[in-house]
Amino acid sequence: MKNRLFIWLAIFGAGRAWAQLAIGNTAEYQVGNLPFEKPNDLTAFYNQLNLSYQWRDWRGNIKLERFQRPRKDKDYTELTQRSLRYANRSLDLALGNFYEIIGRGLLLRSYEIPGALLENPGQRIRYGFYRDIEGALLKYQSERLDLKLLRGKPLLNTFPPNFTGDLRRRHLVDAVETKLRLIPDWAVGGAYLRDHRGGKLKEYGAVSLSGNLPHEIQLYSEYAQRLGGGNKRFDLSDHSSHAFYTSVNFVAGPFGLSAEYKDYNDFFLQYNDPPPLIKEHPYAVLNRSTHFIEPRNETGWQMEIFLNTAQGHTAVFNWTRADSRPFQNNNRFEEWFAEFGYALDEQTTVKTFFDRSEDQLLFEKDRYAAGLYLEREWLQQLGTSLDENLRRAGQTGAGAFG
Amino acid sequence: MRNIIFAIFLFIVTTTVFAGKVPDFRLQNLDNKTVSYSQLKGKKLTVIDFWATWCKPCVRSIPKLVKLHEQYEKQGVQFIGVNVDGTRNLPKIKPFVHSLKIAYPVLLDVNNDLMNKLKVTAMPTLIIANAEDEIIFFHQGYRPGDEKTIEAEIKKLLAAAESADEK
Repeated sequence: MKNRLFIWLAIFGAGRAWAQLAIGNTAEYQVGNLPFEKPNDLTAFYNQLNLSYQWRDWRGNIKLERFQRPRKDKDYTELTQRSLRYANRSLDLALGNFYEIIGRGLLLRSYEIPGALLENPGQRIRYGFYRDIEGALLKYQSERLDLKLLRGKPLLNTFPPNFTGDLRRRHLVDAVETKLRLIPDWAVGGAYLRDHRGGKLKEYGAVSLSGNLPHEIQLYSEYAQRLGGGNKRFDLSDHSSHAFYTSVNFVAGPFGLSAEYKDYNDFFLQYNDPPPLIKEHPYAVLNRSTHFIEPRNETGWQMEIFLNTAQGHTAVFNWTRADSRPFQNNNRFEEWFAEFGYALDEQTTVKTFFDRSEDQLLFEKDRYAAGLYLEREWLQQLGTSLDENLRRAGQTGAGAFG
Repeated sequence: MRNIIFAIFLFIVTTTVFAGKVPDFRLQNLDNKTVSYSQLKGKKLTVIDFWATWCKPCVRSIPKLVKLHEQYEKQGVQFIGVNVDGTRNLPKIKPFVHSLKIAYPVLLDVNNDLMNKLKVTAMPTLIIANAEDEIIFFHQGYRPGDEKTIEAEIKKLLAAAESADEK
């Protein structure tokens, strides 16, 4: 009788609970050899299990990662994330592991790239591609006010999960961010972050302004700097630890334009991720090589123009330039990109792109790339696409076909 | 003890039978305003499209969704675009939306909060929710012709919603 009661309670309770269990698993088995290295056997198995259980406004998550290889020297099985979260329309409370961003990431940004894996180049250990925070988060959102309070240890994902001690989470961060929307179309924000590491305390502050100007012009501007330590307020010279980012975009008829500027100096906090102002390419020969920003010293621009006609033809022009000086030498990265799409009819699209770049850090003087993309929709669920790309780089002599 | 474990297991398994719900989230739109799902959702159906500017299939699917939105908006179907681009592409989104002539609301999920809540792991992902916010259609990826499947689903769900209204 008692047993039946339990079973009926479970079924009846579940129906009322409106709960949801989600299970996601990523497994990867790798075989191969690495020439010129000892040991050269690359055979490895990696598994990541993500479990999430939702009940009304409550959610529990765990992430379990396992890595194995035949020589069993760096195997691990770790419960790398666990969290409990409560969220309704205005309030969000998290305990455990979570992802969060302050402003546009000048001070702090944590994220996950689902399904992607990282490999530690020294020890060839594989693990999930995420950078989370372990601690507590409280967020409040309304039409006029956003408030964020957090305390936690950001993950330094250069170290795989089998690294013990506090190597992976060396910093303890307290942060508060607020955004006010008192005037229609405009928002002002402020943030304060305190970093405790090894008995040392560093303080940072940030202010931001975003809004809509007449004629469909949109503006975003954010300035962050280290407080104290001899830094003057709003100093953009090479003597202050600061990060300044601003963007403006504009739309007119079939045209759209975006322009961005960055100025980062001595602002590598290990858990921040300022906007890099680099074109993200969907084309195979371009998206494998990109410019990595240097928050220790980098300035740069990016401009992009879009055109979309009523007939379905498209055009994109992008220009990017970054000057970095982490040490003595000045390194310049510059890229020009143009893409044209021509809609032959409702079902057929032809796209072509041209790209030229130079990257002094990679010793690439003139890297040219071009591609042709043809897509034809024949019947429902049946389409054909042809993707032909070519890339050739000067100086290094490297070439690639995709 | 074994019965308790069995009951807990049964509770968890039984609950998975029920579809998920779209929570009443708040996100920022392209005009710097914070809007909630309850403000935007459709009278009968809400189509939520998760996309990013770097995702080629997403960009290919959007003109088809724009057409479906024009066609079904007056019948109580509201489309909502949720952009999941990171901070590096944020300034490009409004011009991009403008160039693609997206007439339905586009919200910014920079921190991927909504994406995680709805268990979206692939781009593009299209979700259809009914008036009670229950997720009744979940579609990942885009191939030419998928818009016909989505349209057939909208028609079917609209017919079901109308017959439920009549009862």
